[in-house]
Amino acid sequence: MFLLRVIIVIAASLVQISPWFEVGGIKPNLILVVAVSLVVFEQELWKKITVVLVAAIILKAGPTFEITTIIFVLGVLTSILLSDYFRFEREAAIGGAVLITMLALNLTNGFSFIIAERTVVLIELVYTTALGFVIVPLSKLLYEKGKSSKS
Amino acid sequence: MNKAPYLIVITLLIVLVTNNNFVLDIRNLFAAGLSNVVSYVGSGSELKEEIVKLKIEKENLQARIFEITVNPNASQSKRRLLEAKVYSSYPLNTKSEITIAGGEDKGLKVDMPVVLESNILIGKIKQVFPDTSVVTTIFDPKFEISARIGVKEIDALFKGGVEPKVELIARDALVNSGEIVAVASSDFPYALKIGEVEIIEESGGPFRSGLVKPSYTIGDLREVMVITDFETE
Repeated sequence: MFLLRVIIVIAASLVQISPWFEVGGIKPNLILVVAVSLVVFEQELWKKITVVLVAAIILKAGPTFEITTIIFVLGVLTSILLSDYFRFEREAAIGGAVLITMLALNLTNGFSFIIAERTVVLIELVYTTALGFVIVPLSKLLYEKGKSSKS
Repeated sequence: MNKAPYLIVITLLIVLVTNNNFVLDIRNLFAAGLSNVVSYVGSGSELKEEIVKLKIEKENLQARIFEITVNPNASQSKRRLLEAKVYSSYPLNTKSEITIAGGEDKGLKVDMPVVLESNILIGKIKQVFPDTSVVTTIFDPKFEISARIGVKEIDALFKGGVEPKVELIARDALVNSGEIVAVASSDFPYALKIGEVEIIEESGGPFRSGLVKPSYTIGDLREVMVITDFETE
């Protein structure tokens, strides 16, 4: 089941970087939702970290290490903090982590970017939330199936 | 104690933080492959790509004709162009920057102009890395450049942004929608096309401003040209 999750995260990363993955010229942050959902429902810490790192490796836009990659990794790891340490409901932890990460990613270009491109940022947020409503239940289902097959 | 999980995590960390092109090449290969598969499966995708290509070619030819009209002495043979692939822009939906393949290894330098085909301005190089470069595009709100409008070469100031604008157009100057907005700064070859005037906004002051419609969308860019050398004509 873990291998399946890794394959899902690789596929989602590749879809994310594909040029055709756009709705009206704006890309929803599919990989962020997928990675956070898989991480929150995963049980073991090393598996959580592996999922995040695999996604980050594929998403790296250049050969150098960039601030956006660090934010992506930290953002996804925030979901662990929210769900495992602060005991948030899993869905709330996913929503919180996605929101924080998206804001942080957009803030790398400064506040003026968010103001200047507020329509783009808002539409991206709406698209990503819509994706979340599909992906989070699927991740939950995958996790419950994994649990039942073990028992 | 099972060491495999630690080994996996550490290996992935090393791959992530090291400066390597290997993973990047594989990733781009996969992304291109996936894109081709989707293009093949999705009916009409090829046709759409052809239409985009033809549209860009048409825009470039118009830009070239405009350049010859306003500057008959312009010689493109004095320009050196270098083709560069455009990387995907994850995670930001920003149009203000793009990353291109090629950096110090290809002799690229900060402030070199970047164009589509040969005559449509995309922006200028902001940062150069060993084998990639970051380009500030005309959609960056901080991008400002002296410009001229139409064959009458009316002075204006081009300001980038989500909705690029031309400002400081003299009130008595006759500017119509559809006229070409072109570069008039000595940092670039003269008369590169930025876009076309879309709407002229009337205000009470001594100047007018207008919206500019660029000739392309950032999402359509796959290859761009860097002007590595040019003479001011």
